[in-house]
Formats: sequence, structure tokens, C-alpha cells
Amino acid sequence: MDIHIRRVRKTFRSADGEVTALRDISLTVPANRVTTLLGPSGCGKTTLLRCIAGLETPDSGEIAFGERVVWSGNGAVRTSVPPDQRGVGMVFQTYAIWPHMTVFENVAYPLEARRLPRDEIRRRVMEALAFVQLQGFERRPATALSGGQQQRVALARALVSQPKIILFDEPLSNLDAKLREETRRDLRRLLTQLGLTALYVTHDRHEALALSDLVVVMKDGAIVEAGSPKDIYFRPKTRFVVEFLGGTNFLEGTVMAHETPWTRVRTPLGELLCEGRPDMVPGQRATVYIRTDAIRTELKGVVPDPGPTAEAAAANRFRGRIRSLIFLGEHYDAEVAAGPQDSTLTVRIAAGLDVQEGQEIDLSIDPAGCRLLE
Amino acid sequence: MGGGNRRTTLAVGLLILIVGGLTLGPALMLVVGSFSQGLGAIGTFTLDKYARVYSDPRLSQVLGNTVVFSLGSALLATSLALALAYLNFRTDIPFRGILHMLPIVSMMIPHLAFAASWALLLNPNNGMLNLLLRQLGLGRINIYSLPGMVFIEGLLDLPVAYLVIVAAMASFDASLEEASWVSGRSRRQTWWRIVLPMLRPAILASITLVIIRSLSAFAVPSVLGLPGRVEVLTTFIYRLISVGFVPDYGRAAAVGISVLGVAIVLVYLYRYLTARSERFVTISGKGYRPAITSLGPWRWPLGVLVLLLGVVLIALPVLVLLYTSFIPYIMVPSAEAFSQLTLRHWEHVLSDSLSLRALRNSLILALGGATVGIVLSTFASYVIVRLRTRGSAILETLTFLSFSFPGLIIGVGFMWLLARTDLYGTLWSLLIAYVATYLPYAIRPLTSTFIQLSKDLEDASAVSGANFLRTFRRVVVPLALPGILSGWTLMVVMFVRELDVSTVLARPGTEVLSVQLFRAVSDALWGRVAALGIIMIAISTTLVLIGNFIAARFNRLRPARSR
Repeated sequence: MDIHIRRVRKTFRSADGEVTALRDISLTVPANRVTTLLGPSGCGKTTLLRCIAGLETPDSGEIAFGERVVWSGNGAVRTSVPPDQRGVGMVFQTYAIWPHMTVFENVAYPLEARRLPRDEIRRRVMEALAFVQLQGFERRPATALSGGQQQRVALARALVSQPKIILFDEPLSNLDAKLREETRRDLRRLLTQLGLTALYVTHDRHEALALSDLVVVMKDGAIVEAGSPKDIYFRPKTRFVVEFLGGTNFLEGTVMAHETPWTRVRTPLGELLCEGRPDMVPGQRATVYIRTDAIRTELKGVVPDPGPTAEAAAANRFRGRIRSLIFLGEHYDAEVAAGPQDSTLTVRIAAGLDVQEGQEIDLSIDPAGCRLLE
Repeated sequence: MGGGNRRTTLAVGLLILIVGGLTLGPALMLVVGSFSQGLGAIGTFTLDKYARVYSDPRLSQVLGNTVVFSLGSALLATSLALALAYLNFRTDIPFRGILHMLPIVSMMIPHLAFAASWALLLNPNNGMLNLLLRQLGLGRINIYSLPGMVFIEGLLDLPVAYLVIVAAMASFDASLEEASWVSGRSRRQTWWRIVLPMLRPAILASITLVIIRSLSAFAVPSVLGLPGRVEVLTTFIYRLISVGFVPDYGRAAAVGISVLGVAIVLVYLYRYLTARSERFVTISGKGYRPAITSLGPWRWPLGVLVLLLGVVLIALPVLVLLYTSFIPYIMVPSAEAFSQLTLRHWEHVLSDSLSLRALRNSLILALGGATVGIVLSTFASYVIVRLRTRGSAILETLTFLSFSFPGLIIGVGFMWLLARTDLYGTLWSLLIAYVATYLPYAIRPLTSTFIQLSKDLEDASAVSGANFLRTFRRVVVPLALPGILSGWTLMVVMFVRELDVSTVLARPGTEVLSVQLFRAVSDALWGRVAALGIIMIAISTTLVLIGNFIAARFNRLRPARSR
């Protein structure tokens, strides 16, 4: 079942004034796919999720599950289905496991609210617990579980009534890094198996890229971009999305000429061969962004291995000086000053190299990794 | 929320109506009554009551006494509380367990019984301590005086002041003091330059709160003030409505309104002060660790002093009452006294139909009133914490209003409010007035309970398909039960000892223990005073223990909260 969000607006009023959390948002969350709402804190993603659950009331707009309108505040017609009758499952950031109940009671709760027969409840709770691999835990007090286990109880509780739609509000943010990676993988597997319509809120780009079929990036109460994880990563249309997905250098430049398959751009670093953008006109201003994985580094004097094409390899070569160096284990994070204006680039240097601050270093930048934004 | 919007508004409206009726109702009646002709009823408009009462030549003396009494007890209670809280939280003082229990246990002794026990010890004619002092040739202490009243009221308000100060002290990071020591300041300099300024909001709040309470105090002024003709506003009002052939409630209301006005201003000052201190002092679990200062050679002397305070606050009053209830007339404990022990007073109290009826009424009012009160405060505090609408703000202001109510004065308002209904003269009228006057005492622990409960726990229930009532029953109430129980216990204790409202509203048939005790004090029937006092202490102690037992049992059944 897909979720239709049409021009939904939400404003919070407080003593300090008004904050618009959602600015007439329209979005269709595709049925039986995993969609993430990605954005920094305060971008409205959680508010949108809570509006869909019915925990928050929008000011105007319409929300429909398939054909069924659950909220509508347009004109005289007002529909407002309370959260307990929307029939969605939801996993909360804090898990919201009721501390005065056992694991079984927690998971059985949604079925009891729907007045199912006792045997049926028992059967379905056990099924749900088995699904999240918590067999044998049903008599434990819910608070006697670890964070990861509580998280799975929350998932079992959200799934037990077999909803068509399941909502996640940053469910992994309270887990430690290692557990988070494992849980992410499990969650991806479970969601693929179930084929539900899942809407997942997160501020973690890795989580969004790893879990979803569709990533919706939000900022200041509006949708900035939406697309598949690869689209969003490789073909973003805005600087905000580029920055949010991380690890990037920006250079302001002017388009000089098209040299198929490349485009030549003048930047403070020097002339750069970039991805081919025949749609851009010579003389046009453009922003070049280069992710750190597109910059190769060599100690001075070492013979470089040839780039994608000989011509390009010859073009995008610069000499720089290491300004600062941070050792991170797998690699160094370095700031390198390069070009006539000592432009600063963030680059990665292989951990095995013997480098020091102040040392000169050669950079070669893959033209395919030099991307252009208007 | 959602489709429940209209129902929510309706429910909040109903709550505002109930709480508003309970708080604004009697206050408005008081205003109307003070401008009315006649003695007991509402009638034609007149300024006569004001003119007569405010031109009373005794009034300036009464006002002076009231200021000294309120301010004096506020300063005494707050400085004692400050010293106790510091010793308890920051030093290696011995008997810390006793110290911690002291303020809580002393709450179970009704003010009236406490004041009466001190009258027994220190009244100028035959007070036991005075008899002892006379034998030793040391003169005597007259407790029937303004300093005596300040001393006793200060001790009685110590628990309240202590709770306010402790809340601030417990959340104040000891590293602030350590930083001062490291900077080369002595302990004494640190106390004056760091500790006191940091606690200033709490100290001011405590002083304000005690002034509010002593301004409306009736037990101590009536037991210790009336015999020595030291009148404060409450006893002045009491004499207006109790002396003479026909009580003049209109004049009482005309004075009462000034008291109420001052109390309301103070309550909002208190609210402002605590809101600020709550904002400044943040309680964070991280890195918090109270530094323990060694008292060195002062450790034991100070410990003994604290023990002595325990004796003065708890042991002495209880023992004096117990002893007096078994002797035929007041005398210093001696072999002779113990040879004359008698059950006369107990037999009288336990066979007298009036006392028995008062006992039954007090129990009904305490248990019933606290139950009604806690149901109302649970819903009201839930609305105040969870719905941040204009309605909930109105509700909060209304519940705070009755914090300022002097029982004796608001009792007159209730009398007028209920006089034309069938409730007048029944236990219901007392119950309604009790709940209204003491509502904030249950609402405060409950609001802090609800603030600590994550809203997600309720949202999760709603998303799981539970409607509001199911969520309230299955999630909110079970999780808030400790707060609900402690609010209930507090109300029970307050209702068992309630004197002020009851003095005005109790009628033949609706007598309560405290009013009976008060009458016995007025008639100087000390043996009966003592027996009734012991009964009241026993009832509130038993009920508090039951409340704590249930809370402890419940906590054991429930796993520790994880977050």
C-alpha cells in the first residue's frame, strides 16, 4: 500500500514564535519498498513520520494510505483518523518498550487492543518473536534486555499485527557502532523478506544508502531531492545533498570548453578536466565537487600509474604540500594546499606511506570524479 | 489528538470547570460576601464590613504580630533547613539516616498535636519543663508568646523548607565548591561566596513558601497565641466568626481578602523563583558526585545537635502526649506520677460518641478525600504536562491558585458557596473543600512524575491500536503509580490533621478529630488532648506506612526502569 502525502504543512507555535516544520510537502511513498527520509536534525523528517502515524496533526494538506484518506484538512472536508485506527506499525527511536510489562506482554499489546482471541494472540506473538530471533525471551521483563534485544522487541511489536505500513523513527541511533552495522544488515534482510511499505527516518547517510530503495533528502521542512541510493550518491543535483553525503571538496570555477568526453573547467586549483556536461555553456559559472575517493596521492618522484586515459591523467595532476595530517588507522586524512592560490583539498593518504606534515605530495584527480553543479 | 480533538477539548473544559469551580468559586464568594449586608448570608451591597473591620483599633497590633510571626518562622525554618541539608549532603556527619528521615517523619505529627505538646511542656502555669525549671530555680519560659509561636511554627515548617532546599542542594555539583577550595578559598569563604549565592533562588523560594504557610497557619496561633492574647490575622478572623452571639462572616471575609491577596502574590513569586531555579540548576547524572567535607572535631558535637533536633521534633512531642494521656492531671514525670497512671482519658475518648463520630468522619474524609483528590489531580496533572494548549495553561494557573488558600478564610468562601445546596452540613462539603484547598500538594509530585515519563511510551500504545482510555489504563497509570501513591499518601496525611477548613465547615454531625482536639485544647482538657493527638499521629503513621508498603511491593514486582 503506498502512502500519498499531498501539500502537508505543519507549524509549531511556541513562546519564542513559530517554526514551520513542514512546508507543503508532497510525496508518494511507493508500496512494498523501503523509503528513507534523510536529513539533518530539525529538517522535519520526524514530524512528517509522526503526521503519517497520526501522532501529530498537520495544519493543512492530505495524507492517504492507498485510497484511504487518513487525514485531510483541505477546505470544509476534514478527515482525521486517530493513530489507534490507522493500522500502522512503528518503531520508536527510544524503542518505547513498556518497562512494566514482559516481552510477551509488550508484543501482545497491539493484538489485545484489536481484541483477538487468546490462542491467536499467543500464536502470533510467538511467530513475531521467532521472526526477530527472540524465542525463549517472552517471559523476561522487557527492561532486562540489552539495547539490541529491546530494539528487536520493538520491531516484533510493530510487525505483530501484520500492518501494511511500518514506520521507523531513527531506530538504530541508540545502538553502538558495531551493533548498528549488524542490525542494519538484519533489518535490510527482514524488510526485503516482508515486502511491506516501510518508511524510515534517519540522519545517517550510510543507513539511508544501505537500507532503502528510495532516498528522500529533506532540509528545512522541504524535500530537496529524491531518488535511488545510487542516483542520490552519484548524480545529486544540489550542493546540500553533495555535502550531506559527505567527504567532498568544492571548487568554484568557470566552464572553458567541451573536450569530449570531458569538460574543461578553470578553477583556483588550475585547469581541471571534469565529467562531460555538454549542457553547460563555455563561460558559465560552475561548482566542481570532488569526493576524496577520486583523488589519488603519490609521494613525489614515484612513477604514477596511468589514469583512465593518458590525456586525462596528464591533465589533472597537481603538486601540493601537506598542511595537516590525522592518522585514522585505515588511512590518513590530510589537508593539502595545492595550486597557485594554495587551495585546500581534503585527501586520503594510504596508511602505509611514510608522510609528514609539510611534505610535498603529488595529486592526480580522476576526471570522472570531478563533478559539476550549476 | 487526531479524531479525539473535540473529545480532548471537552475533557479539558470539564477539568477546568471542576478545578475552576473548586478554586475560583469560593474565592469569588468571599469577595461577594465581604460586600454584603447581613451577617451570614449574601445580601445587598455595602462597604460597611470593610469600614468596620479596617478601622478596628486592634488591627495594627494584629498586623505587626502577623509580620513578625510569618517572617520569623520563615527565617527560622529556612536557616535550619539550610544547615540540615548541607550537613546531610556535603559532610560526614553521623546519624545520617536519622537526619534524612527527620523532616519526613515529623510531617506525620499534626500541627495541632505538636503545638499542644509544647503547650504541655512550656505553658507558664504548669508546663512540665517550666515546673522542672522552677524546681531548679531557673525561672520559666513562656510559650504563650510571639517568640514561642515563631519557634514552634518554624519547627513545623522545617520539613517544607527542607524539601525545597534539598532539591537545589542535591543537584548542585560539588565540583563548584572544590574549584573554590583549589582557588585558595577557605571552607567558610566558600560557603559565603559560592554555596549561598548558588542556593539563593532556593532559599528565597523556601522563605516565600514558609511565609505563605505561616500566614495561613491556624493551629499554632490558636493553641499558643490565644491564651497569651497574641493575635495574628487568622486568629483575629477566627474570633470574628466564633465569638459573640452571631458570627460576622462578612467582616471575616473583608480581612480575609487582604490575606488571600498577599498569599496569591507570594505564591506567584514562589512560582517565579522556582521556575528560575529549575532553569539554572540542571540535574545531570554525568559526573555528579557529592564531595564529602570532613567536619573534623565538630563531627560528633554537630551529630549530637542533630539528634537533639530529632528529639525536639519527634520524640519529645510524642512522649509528652503519650505520658499526658495516662496521667490524671499535669505533673512532672516522677514515681508519684507513675503510681497514678489512669486510663480515664482513653476510656472517655473511646466511649464518647462525639469523639467516635469524629474519628469515623476523619477516616472517611482522609481516605475518601484523598482518593477523589488523587483521581482529579492525576487527570489534571496529565493534562498540564502532556497537552501544551491554552486550556492546560489555564488549568495549571488554577491549580496553583489554591496553593495560596488560607484554609480558615477559604472555608468561609466554601460555606457561602455550599450554603444553598444540599451538600451543606454534610461530609461532602468538607470533602470538596479539602480537595480544593490541598489539590496542589498532589498535583506537584504527579506533574514531576509525568514529566519523567517518555511520551514515546504512550505514542507506541496509540500506534498499537489502543485508544486513549486503554493507553491511560495500561501504560500511563501503571508507570505513574509511584507518584500517584505518594500524592495519595500526602493527601491522607494532610486530611487527617486538617483543622483550618474544618473549623469553619464542621457542623454537628460532621465533627472531625482535629476540631475535637482543638475544642479540648480550648477547654484545657489536656488528657483528652493527648489521647486524641496520639490517635491522630497513629492514624497518619499507619496510613503512610501502608502507602509506602504498597509502593515498595509494587516497585519490587516491577523491573528497574532502563532509561
